[in-house]
Amino acid sequence: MRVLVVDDDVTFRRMLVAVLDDEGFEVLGPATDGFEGVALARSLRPDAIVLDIRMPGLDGLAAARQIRDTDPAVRLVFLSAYDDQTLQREAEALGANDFLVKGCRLSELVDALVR
Amino acid sequence: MSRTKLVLGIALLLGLSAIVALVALERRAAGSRSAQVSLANVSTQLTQLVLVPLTATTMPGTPAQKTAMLEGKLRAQEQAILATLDRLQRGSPPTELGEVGKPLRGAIAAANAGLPIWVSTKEMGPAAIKILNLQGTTLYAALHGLDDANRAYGARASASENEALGGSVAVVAILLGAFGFFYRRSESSRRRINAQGTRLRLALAELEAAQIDRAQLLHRTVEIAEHERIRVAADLHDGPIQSLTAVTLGFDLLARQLKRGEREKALTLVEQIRETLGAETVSLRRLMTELRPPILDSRNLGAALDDCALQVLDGSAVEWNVDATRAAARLSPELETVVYRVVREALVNVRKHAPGAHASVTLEPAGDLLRLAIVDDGPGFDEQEPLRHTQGARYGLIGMRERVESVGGTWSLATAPGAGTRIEVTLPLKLRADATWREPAGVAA
Repeated sequence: MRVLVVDDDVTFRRMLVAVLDDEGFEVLGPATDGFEGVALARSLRPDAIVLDIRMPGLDGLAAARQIRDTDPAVRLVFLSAYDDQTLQREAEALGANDFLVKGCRLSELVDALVR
Repeated sequence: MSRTKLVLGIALLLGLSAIVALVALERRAAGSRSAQVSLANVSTQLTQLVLVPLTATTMPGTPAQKTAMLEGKLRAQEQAILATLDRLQRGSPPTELGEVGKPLRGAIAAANAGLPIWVSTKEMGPAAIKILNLQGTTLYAALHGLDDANRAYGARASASENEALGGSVAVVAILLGAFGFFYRRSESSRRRINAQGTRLRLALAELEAAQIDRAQLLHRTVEIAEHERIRVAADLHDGPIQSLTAVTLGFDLLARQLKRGEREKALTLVEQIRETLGAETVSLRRLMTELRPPILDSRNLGAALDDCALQVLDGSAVEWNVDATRAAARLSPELETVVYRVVREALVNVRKHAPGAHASVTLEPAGDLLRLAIVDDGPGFDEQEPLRHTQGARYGLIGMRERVESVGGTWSLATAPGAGTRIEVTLPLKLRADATWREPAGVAA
């Protein structure tokens, strides 16, 4: 399964890539902001995308909207530091498949990607 | 009685007195004019008295008839003249009038005495001419006296009129004076009231401005606090949370590797996790320092400023010195934090906008005040165009000023292109309860 990682924090991004790779995912990218995420999503056509929300430039929600417009089938999993119900509803409205809060267990993330 | 009422009363009294005097003078002038008219009438009657006998030669009738007719006319003239004189004498006769009356009476008596001679003589004989001459001389004297009296009355009337005019002028002057006095007093009062009103309005305006400033300051203080919270939240999001969640994922991965017996991978991952936590500890310490530098509590403000300059400027081309040796006593915590933040913000600006410059920080007590100056000899900027700088720098300057004003201090900026930048701050000196000023030994840079 091809997974695109989009997150601006280098520490978290590096660890996430390592973990997903260890889980057997083909990790694409990673993208460091929303603009890059949209571009890689269109060019690489991943099966799933793990998106941060708060990022400089184009945030995760805006990036997801653009990605969904061109690829309705891709799985969108938000992984944010914000445990915020409003953001969660907004993400669901955009067609997000899951909304996880950073600090969750790895199994939860894997389940969200392969569900 | 108020002073205003007293002035009004005096002015009224003066005005009434002046009016009474004016009326009296006017009446005196009117009397003089009346006497002058009466004397003029006497002169006319005397002239007729002289002319009446001359008509005897042209009168028709017998001498007895002429005598009776002339005698009647003369008696009538005489009575009219005497009545006029009496009227004048009963009034307020001038002394001249008594003198006038005597020759008049003599002239009238002479005329009466010569009357039979005129009437009995058909032609003007020497006797008649003699009588007429005598009568004429007497009459001339009388007329002359009348003329003098008339002029005297005229002069007196004129004088009275002048007095009346003078009185009028005096009255007007008095009234004007009283009015002027009162007006000056009232004008003075009005000016005083106006001045008080102006001062009151200014005080009100200042109060309103102060209230607006206070409201704005409160609003900005709330904004600053909110901005601060947002910044701290962002720092927590970008720093500790990312690192800790990364570490969480790292532990998940570590568990999997250990389960699989991948010892070397696990050791490498443990090292990565340790580095992440170590870096995050540094990051959290920096965040804590920004919120409240620990050195302020462990040492003093002078040492904290020196440490601050080292943190901000170390590794840059900026040279600096901090002189806070005289401000080593323990200030109130809020004052220390304000000074620390202002210096930090100013030095961050120096590093950003004045690379290669020399910066100096001076902090010293001045009576009840604390004076802070951050000066650099960098490129400076146009003070009227702070937007030329980045938005962050602009907010930094505004934030500095508001932070200072929030504790009752003053903040000023002096800069110009090519002239460096000087920030001066004065703050009300507030010490900690147990602190006093002292000259420290070797605290600052």
